[in-house]
Amino acid sequence: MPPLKIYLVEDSAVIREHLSSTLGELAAAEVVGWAEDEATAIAWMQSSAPRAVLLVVDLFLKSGSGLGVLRAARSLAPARRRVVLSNYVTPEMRQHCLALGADRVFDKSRDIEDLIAYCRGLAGVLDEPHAA
Amino acid sequence: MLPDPQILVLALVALLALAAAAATMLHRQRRHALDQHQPQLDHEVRRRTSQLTELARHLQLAREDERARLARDLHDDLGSLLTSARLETARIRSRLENTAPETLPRVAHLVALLDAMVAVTRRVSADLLPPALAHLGLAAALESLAAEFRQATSVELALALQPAPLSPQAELTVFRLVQEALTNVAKHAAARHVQVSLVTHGDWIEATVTDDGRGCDPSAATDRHGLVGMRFRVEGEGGRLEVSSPGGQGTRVSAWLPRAHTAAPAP
Repeated sequence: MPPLKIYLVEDSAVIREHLSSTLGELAAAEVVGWAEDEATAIAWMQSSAPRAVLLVVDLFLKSGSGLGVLRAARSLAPARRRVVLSNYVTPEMRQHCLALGADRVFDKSRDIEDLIAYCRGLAGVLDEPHAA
Repeated sequence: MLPDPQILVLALVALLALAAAAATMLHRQRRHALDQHQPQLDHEVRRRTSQLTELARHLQLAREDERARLARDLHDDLGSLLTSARLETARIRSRLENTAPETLPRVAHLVALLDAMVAVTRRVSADLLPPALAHLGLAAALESLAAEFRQATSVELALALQPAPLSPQAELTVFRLVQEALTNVAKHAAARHVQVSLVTHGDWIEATVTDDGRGCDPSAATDRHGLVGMRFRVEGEGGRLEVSSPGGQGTRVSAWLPRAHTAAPAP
């Protein structure tokens, strides 16, 4: 089974490192790129060679916000799954993110196991490069 | 031999008269001096008042800067470390599931402790400075404040927020004002409804909190309800704070702040 390719939008280096090792070990996932601000993430979506099938997006970034990334992804990366991983998951924010096309919204502490399970599930179904 | 008592009395009267004359003269001189110095004194009072206003503003800003830095350190640095610890724990748990399943309850306990630490970190950090304000803007921060208020009280809260271009400092001032006013509504007003609004009037933004509670004496309200610091703060941003209680029915706290002038957007 080929690894699940992930693009991370996360401004903490320590979380990027641990997320990539944990998802690598537990969900056969590979982080193929990352951004720590909205503009870089959008530029990546606009570039022609993005390989990732899953975007994991934090809401608070170095500049801009994850909401901006989700908004842009609706037109730039509609075929890729987008999930939010944040410390700021209020009920309103969850609704807002889902309305912007996020598939799931994970809390950075209590939903870690759910995120891993979600990635495991995807690794099974999203093998083809053009999966929806 | 004792002097004639009449002479003594006369001398005493003369002395008293002299003293009275001297006192009157001194008083006149002082009055004169005061009159002469009055403009100078007025000027000095104005100068000192403006210095104190400036000092109050400076202390307020220094305090908010420090709170923002602490909130960031807690939320970003400590928060990231805790999330990383949480991820590492997931890896360890996955190994132990096969090799030492009897340790899994301990791991679950560790996970619960980490989640509790995250909760404390978020609460302390949000008390210092709501994360939504810095990252998502004033409207999002007010929406989240409103959600907390609705959860904590039975007062019906309505939000009417127009896009309001304010400087980051003015945004924080509006947020603190609304926070303070809502605390007062919850504590003192016995209100059923409260409205929070942001309205743009040309070069000014008006932030208002209106309730239908028992009202207050507007002249005393600023002191009693801790809004005196808020008045300083709003004035420090070049704005004006108004507190009114029309007919003693409900309270209206309203701040007018200058609109932030950014570079004109492309047409």
